[in-house]
Amino acid sequence: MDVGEFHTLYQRIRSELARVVVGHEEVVEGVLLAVLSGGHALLEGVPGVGKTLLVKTLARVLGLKFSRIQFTPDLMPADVVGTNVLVQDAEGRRWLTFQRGPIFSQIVLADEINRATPKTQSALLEAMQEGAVTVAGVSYPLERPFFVLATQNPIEMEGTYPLPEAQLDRFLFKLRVPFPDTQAVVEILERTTGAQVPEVQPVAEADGVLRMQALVREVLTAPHVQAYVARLVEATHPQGPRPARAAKRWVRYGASPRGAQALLLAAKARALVHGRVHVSVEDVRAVALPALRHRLLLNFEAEAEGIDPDHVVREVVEEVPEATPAAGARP
Amino acid sequence: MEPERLLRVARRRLRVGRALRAAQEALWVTLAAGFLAQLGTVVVPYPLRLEWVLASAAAAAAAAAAVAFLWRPPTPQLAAGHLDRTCGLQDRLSTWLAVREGRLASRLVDRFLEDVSQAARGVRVREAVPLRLERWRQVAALAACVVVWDLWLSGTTLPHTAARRVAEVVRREGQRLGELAQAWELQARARGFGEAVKTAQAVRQVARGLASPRATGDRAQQELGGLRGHLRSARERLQTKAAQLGASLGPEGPELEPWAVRAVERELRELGRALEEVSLSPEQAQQVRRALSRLQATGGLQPASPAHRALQQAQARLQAGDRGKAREDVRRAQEALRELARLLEEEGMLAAHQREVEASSLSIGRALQGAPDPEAVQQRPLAYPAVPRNRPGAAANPEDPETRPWDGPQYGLEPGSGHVTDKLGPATPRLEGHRRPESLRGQAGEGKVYSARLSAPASTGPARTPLVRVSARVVRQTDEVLRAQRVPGSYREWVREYFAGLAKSGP
Repeated sequence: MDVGEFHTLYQRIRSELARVVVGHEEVVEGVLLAVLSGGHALLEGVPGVGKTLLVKTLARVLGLKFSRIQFTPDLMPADVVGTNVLVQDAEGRRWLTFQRGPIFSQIVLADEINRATPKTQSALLEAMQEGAVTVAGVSYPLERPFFVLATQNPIEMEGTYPLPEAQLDRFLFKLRVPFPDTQAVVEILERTTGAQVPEVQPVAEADGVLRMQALVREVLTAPHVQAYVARLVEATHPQGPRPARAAKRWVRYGASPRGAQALLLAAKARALVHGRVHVSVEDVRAVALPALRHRLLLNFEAEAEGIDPDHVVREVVEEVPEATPAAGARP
Repeated sequence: MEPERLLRVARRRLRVGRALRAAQEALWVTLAAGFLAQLGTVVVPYPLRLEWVLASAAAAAAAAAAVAFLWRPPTPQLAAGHLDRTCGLQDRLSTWLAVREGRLASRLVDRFLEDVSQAARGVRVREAVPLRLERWRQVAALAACVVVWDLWLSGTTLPHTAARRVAEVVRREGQRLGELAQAWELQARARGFGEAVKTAQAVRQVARGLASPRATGDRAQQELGGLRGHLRSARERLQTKAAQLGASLGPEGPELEPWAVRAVERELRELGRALEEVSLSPEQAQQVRRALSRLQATGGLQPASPAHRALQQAQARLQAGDRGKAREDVRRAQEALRELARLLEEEGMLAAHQREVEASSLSIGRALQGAPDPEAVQQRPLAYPAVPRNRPGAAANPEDPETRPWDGPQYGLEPGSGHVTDKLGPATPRLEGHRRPESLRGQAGEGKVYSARLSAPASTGPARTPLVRVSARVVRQTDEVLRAQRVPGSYREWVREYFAGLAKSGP
């Protein structure tokens, strides 16, 4: 796949999504960047803003196998990954066979993921990181491409289990789905309450998505951009050598190296989406918020003052200077 | 423009721009420091000149520019980063550098190079790396402040500060020198002393500057220094001429005093009258020869001087009995001595000028060093030529024409003689009556000193001291000299009679 094909395909995907998903341009782009980077995304928003619709539509547009898991407190890990069941044939012979769970899909919608217990949430860890599931000592690879697009409700606290840090770190992006504006709501009403409900057609397939992902990894990254990414992540660590002021004050633990990887991969995808074959610092800044906001562990002071991780990330991005390409005198 | 060339041009312009900005900052800092220093002179009278401030600013700017230009030239990466930021190239050039160095490998490299070339073509380096100085208006305004202060506001002082005290001393010295210079010029014109007229005018001009409200101690010293040099060179010219006429030159100037030359010249005049008599008795002839011998032995005159030569010839002709030729020789010696006396008097006048100027410089210098009591300047005695201690024939009988004492030290030869312009005194100082009451101190008659407190502006007409005031001044000078020097009583009497006669002949 060359850059031209990539663009054409990307535009078609956007067009098809836009037929169903109203507004949420940034969220749609974020989800697509996560898909193109080969990462997973966590969508956070109040009920009814179109999170599930977006994911379902995306699966259909990309022509990928889709499964939805409604996370509930009584959901067990085996309900997600599958389990060995005892099978008996007509002759009375019995044996164990692996019954695949809904995780065996290509786009998995983990709806309201924070309603399940941490044990169940952790069942996704291996799948998200390794692209495989291990049950009873047997590893089952998942079909590629594989994406987990999880949703959670930020306002419901009763009966929810906040995602553990290790789980959160597996998500490339955490996207906040805002309430649509008036014009978008009108558009939604117009599209969904009439006799004709818009339908989308698959414009891509698994192979095409994989080739797009491969092309994203070919995007050129100058050393100073990589240095900037490293510096940005480093600045989120209050105990690091060069912490940002906001991090020193409000962060208990900063982003991991996986966060740096996510940042750069997402920046690469964004550069390609914007018609460039190289990453700029601007790309990194643009994806810093969704890529880092869920990787910062804020301290008590931040919680007491009501500091949002977004605020911290913005301040860190603002404070960390753009890396000079190489050592030399300033102009 | 290709990326390679683009970066080369950008690096050069970055380097020059950095040097210009460094020069601008250095100018700004130096001029600001200079301006603050100028403001400081309102309180503290330290020396500060405009040329120092401007020269140091220029030197600092040049040094800063040189250092900024030579120290760590901008790297290609730096230039690429700058162009990326200013031209919105989104790190294309920085990435291009990494690609060129072989640090990046991808199948998208060709497309990237094509993309960079296309983007680089749209870059205007002159706009991306401008060489304009953003703060030049502020720097120019600051420079203007420095110059304006020096031209129109220098000399401004705060009351009750050291700077104000120095300014008052400078103005007072300026007024004093101005008055003296006016008198000097009148005297010099009356006597036909060309050099003295020029120097008096120069002194007046400097005095005007010193008396102006903008005068500063440092500038006054500078002006007075120049004036001293002018006086020194004028004196040297006169001394050279005097030496050509036979005057011996010592380290302090001519060793011959003008009054001594005048006395010799007067004796020659009497000798010439004696030679005009029809019959000359042997005793008279012997007396003439003795007089000639004594005149030849007059100290301070070189043996090879024109007067000496003329006198020797006169003596030889007298021995040969040729009285007519001898009289002619005596007349030539008399003329040479008259010219010499004129030169010596003019030189003495310049020496007096120089002493006054040096005294003013000393007063201002003391004030600059914080010495108290600037009013003491007014109490300094007026300058006049010192009376020599080794006068020839000092112990002789004043009735004897051969040992008759010389004329007065400086002004006038005989009571009642001389021109009225000789007697003009210094101008009445202009009072600044519109500011505040001022004290006027002066002599209104023989030997009496009056002080008056005036609250109104003084008259602006030409001021002249009447003749009696001059004589009173000379009497006072004479009294001081007679009191300070060892002068025989007979001479004291002669001097008293001289000035008494002078006072009688006044208006």
